[in-house]
Amino acid sequence: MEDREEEQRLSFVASAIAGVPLTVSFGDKLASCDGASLRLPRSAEPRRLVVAAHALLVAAHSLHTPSLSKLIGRPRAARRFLALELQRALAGLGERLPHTIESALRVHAQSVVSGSAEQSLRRALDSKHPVVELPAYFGTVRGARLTWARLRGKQAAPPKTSHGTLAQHDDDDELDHDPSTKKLLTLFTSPLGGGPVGDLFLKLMGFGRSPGAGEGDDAGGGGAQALGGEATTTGPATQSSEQLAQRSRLLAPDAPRGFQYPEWHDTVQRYRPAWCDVLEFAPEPPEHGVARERSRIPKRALRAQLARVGVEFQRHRGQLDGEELDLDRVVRFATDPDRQADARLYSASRRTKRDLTLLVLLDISQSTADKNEAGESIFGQQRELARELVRSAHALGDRVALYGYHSRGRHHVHCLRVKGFSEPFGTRTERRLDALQPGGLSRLGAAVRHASHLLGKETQHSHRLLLVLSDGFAYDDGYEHGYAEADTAKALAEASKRGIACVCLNVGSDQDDATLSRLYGESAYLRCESPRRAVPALRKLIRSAMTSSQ
Amino acid sequence: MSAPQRLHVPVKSVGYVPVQNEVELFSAAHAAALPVLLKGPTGVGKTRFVEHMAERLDLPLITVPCHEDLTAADLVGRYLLQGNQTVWVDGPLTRAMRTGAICYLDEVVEARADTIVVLHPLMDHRRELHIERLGESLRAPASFMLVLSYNPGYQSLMKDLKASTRQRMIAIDFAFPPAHVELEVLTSLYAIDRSYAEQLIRLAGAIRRLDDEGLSEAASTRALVSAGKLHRGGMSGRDSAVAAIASPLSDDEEVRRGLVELIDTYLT
Repeated sequence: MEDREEEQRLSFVASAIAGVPLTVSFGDKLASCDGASLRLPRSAEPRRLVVAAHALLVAAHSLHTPSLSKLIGRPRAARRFLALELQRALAGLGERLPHTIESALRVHAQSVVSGSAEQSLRRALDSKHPVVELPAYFGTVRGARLTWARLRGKQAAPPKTSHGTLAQHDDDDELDHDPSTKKLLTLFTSPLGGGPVGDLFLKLMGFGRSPGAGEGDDAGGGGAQALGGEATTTGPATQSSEQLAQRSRLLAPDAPRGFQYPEWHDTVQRYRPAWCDVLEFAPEPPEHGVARERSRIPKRALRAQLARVGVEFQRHRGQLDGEELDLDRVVRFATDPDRQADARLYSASRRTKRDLTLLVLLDISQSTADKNEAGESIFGQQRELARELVRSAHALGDRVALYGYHSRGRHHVHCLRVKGFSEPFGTRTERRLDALQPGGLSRLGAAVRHASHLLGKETQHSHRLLLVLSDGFAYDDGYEHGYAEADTAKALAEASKRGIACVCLNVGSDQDDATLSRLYGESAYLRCESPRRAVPALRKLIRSAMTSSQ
Repeated sequence: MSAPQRLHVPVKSVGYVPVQNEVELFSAAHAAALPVLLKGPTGVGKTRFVEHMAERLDLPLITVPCHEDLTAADLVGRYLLQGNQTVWVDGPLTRAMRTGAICYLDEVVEARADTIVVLHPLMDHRRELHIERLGESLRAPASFMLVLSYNPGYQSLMKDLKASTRQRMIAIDFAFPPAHVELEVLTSLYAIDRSYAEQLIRLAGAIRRLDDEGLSEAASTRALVSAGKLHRGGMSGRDSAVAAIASPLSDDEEVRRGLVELIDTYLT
């Protein structure tokens, strides 16, 4: 327990220095960092110094150099690289650190400062270049782990709060020291960092990087931002220290965040704690918009449906009748010499105040790409419904967010933030929505838990609503049939218990009702052939969900 | 029924450190009789700036903190009962017009849309306020100026300024000042110990980098000044920062603990 708190505290400091979320955990022989998580030995001292040094390297994009695989099997060069990069980072970003730590780190000054991470790497590998080595407690840079992270969908492992990040690579020491690893890894990475084989592999998984897709090059499956804009082949590593400061500030707001959620194991009737890793990020919207088909959703009707839910009483002054006299107006009326003044003297309470926070969760898994006879995909129809829902709610003055979700295995549940609660609905958000492409699988329970976590933080309004648009197929690696259905139903029930009303819509899906009712449990749901059909029932659905969640 | 706001601040500002060209811009707007919109997060010095400009231009300043119950009558004026009689009392806006003052509407989006519309004829070439109750039309004297402040961080359609209001004004953007300006604010204006001020500024930089909703606004320049004042009054550096920065900011125990850890790391 103490460890856990200490980890949280150190994570806070590390993230504040790095400018991106960085999770610190104990339980490694040598301190090292992969850009999203930092592991260090429990006995590491002086802890803050070590944490600050690695966080500063993240801020300086030191760990995103494509050719770091050259460090695999060369532990000495890796430590030389760490020392050189620390010096470079200090020169550009030293003011990010507390004074005491900055001066403590400056003790390990190098004779020359590298201009880029690439240069540091060349110098680290050149045994003739003199390097003042750092004390052993500073740990190392793990080429193997970083290369793995790059391969895994160009993303760092989602930050974890408990031990066991990348548990399968706990033998990193061996990996890093074994020259044969390098051969294996270089198969997947081209010197340019493009990794065509790796990309192909990812594409097969439905996580392709097709241009303009939600997870296109710029978005880089989300992880690219965590890795500090590594998606471009030139990369910030070639930039000077001065430019670094600017660049990482710009990157910080859209940095992905990692979350962990439990999963319900129905057969043993127990939760599996910290079972799923959810990565939330905002895909970079494409620069140009695309032509959209005219949506056939009855917009006015949709708005009318939404307008009648989530309203609360509000006082109105200047009414012809009402419960109370408005003293201000009475005085004005009484003092008016010719009695011509406004005679609306009452104030009344009417149900007119918008009091609704809404999150739309859109299924973007591969299975939604199926087309019906008319050539329309479930995905296309649900996306247009989501668009109109968000547009209407925004116009009504509700607080509304839109997320897409898909997954590939429990460690890779992605929630794409198309529109955050505080973001305006406009060109950027619409383009993000246009750029979404179906791909991957759907671990619905984890996505629902994340959505309900986000809604749980919203306290401005008394009505909170989660609208799930999916095809009704919850399927992922190790997430099938009864297990998946029970977990999804459980996740929805948890949300409902938190006071969040849940409504599930299936547009154009052929999933059978028996499965849907197992999947959605007690939650209100509707299956219909087209978005048009969903609209007239919306108000009733939401009302009944609101009643059952309170 | 509350009496109209009367906040005629006798200006005695401690001074102001300009970040960019805001002083020149404001003076030019005053000379050209244009209303000004100050945009920026809370605690970066918008109000301080207006006070400074009022002093510089040698004008009285009337501040109105806006809230959602603020009516047009609260701004313009109303009849009040006094004994057996009713007496007309000018609202702050009317008073500012009569005296040729700067009228500063703080956090203007908090006011109701219909209240803001009253300002429209004042904000364009007419510079006129019609007081219906008195049957009187007031024309603004040359020195009168309308200044509105607004925090765009809070994005919601219902709490936003209408385009018809926006386009009547010129806008000055405020952000957290760069480190050297902030240092000067803390040391020259508030006489805060230099080494403590330097530490506070690095701490604020760290908190602002934590991109957590609400967190960054908490480490505002105002909060740093408060911490510095507590420190100057004899509190320890750590306790001052916890009280002025970490505790007001978050009720979430985990976040608070993290902030205290940051304070312990950055303040020595």
